[in-house]
Amino acid sequence: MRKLVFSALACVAFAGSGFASNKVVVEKQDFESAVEEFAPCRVFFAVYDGSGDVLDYVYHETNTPTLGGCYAYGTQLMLEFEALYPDGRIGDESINYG
Amino acid sequence: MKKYLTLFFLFMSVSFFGQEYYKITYNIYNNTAIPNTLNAYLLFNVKTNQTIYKEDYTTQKQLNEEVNGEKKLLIKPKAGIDKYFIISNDTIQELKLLGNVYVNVIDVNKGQDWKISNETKTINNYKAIKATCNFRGRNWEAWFTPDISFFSGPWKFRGLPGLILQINDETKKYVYNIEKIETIYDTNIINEVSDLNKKNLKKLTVKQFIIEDEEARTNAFNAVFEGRGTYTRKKAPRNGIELIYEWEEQVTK
Repeated sequence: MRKLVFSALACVAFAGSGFASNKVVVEKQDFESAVEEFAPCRVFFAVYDGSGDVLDYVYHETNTPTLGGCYAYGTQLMLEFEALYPDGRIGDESINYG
Repeated sequence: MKKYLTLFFLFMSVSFFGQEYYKITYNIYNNTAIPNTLNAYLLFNVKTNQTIYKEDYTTQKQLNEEVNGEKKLLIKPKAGIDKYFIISNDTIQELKLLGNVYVNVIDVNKGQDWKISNETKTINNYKAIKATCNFRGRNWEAWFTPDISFFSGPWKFRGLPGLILQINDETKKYVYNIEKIETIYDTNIINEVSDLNKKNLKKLTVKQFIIEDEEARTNAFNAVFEGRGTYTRKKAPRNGIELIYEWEEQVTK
């Protein structure tokens, strides 16, 4: 039992030393990803029927790391919807980031 | 000369009515939130009395590409979403998409209650007579010709003593104009309908379709946003070609 506790303590100490030696770099990376992860990505679109009459307005918000990622995310949503509901036409789309 | 002219017109009318198949092309103008046009075809088999109508979404064109000052194409020609109508005396079977699967929507509506006026005009060299009706919440003005004795027209319109050449609702949001009449057998459309019918499509009433279509759209939204967090959906009020149905009118009366 004593050996097991010692081993566990050793592991924590080793891990701690590893983190300590790379402290600056790791903290910088964490800071950057933290800023990127929290940028809001807002997607709005309308669904029209085949005649061009509006059926629904849809709004969704998430967080994406980049503007490009937000645009790709929004486009993917609309493509997936069109595949499931082909008679609907997507219009008035607006993708807003940051 | 007069004798020859009479003979010529007699020959023309015999050759026209002697044909077995007709294909009538209409141009539809949808003056909706996104104005657009598309073609539709009415097929008639004189021998079997079979009437088929198709709305061809591969021919759809958006008229106004500018939205809020930006050039945007929202309506694009699309394959695989065409609507087919099989018209008989008692019913109209509409083969159309429910989600991404074709279904057979059976409309038991027996046509419109027309009022025929004395007004006439000429359309495509045919003498046309004006008729009006109210159908599912919209007032319609039709011009039909008794010279062509098909008691039908585009979409769900029928019951006039002649072919409908032109029809629009009073706001001119939906306009149908005849483009041409051909005496041909369009095997492509017949085969498309036949292929769909072979699939034993699920049969629905109009009321069931409206409920299930709403569910299909909700399911599509839920599937798309599953695992992606919440979304806000605002439904627009009904503003299509049919505004109110018989079962809804009965409730409001």
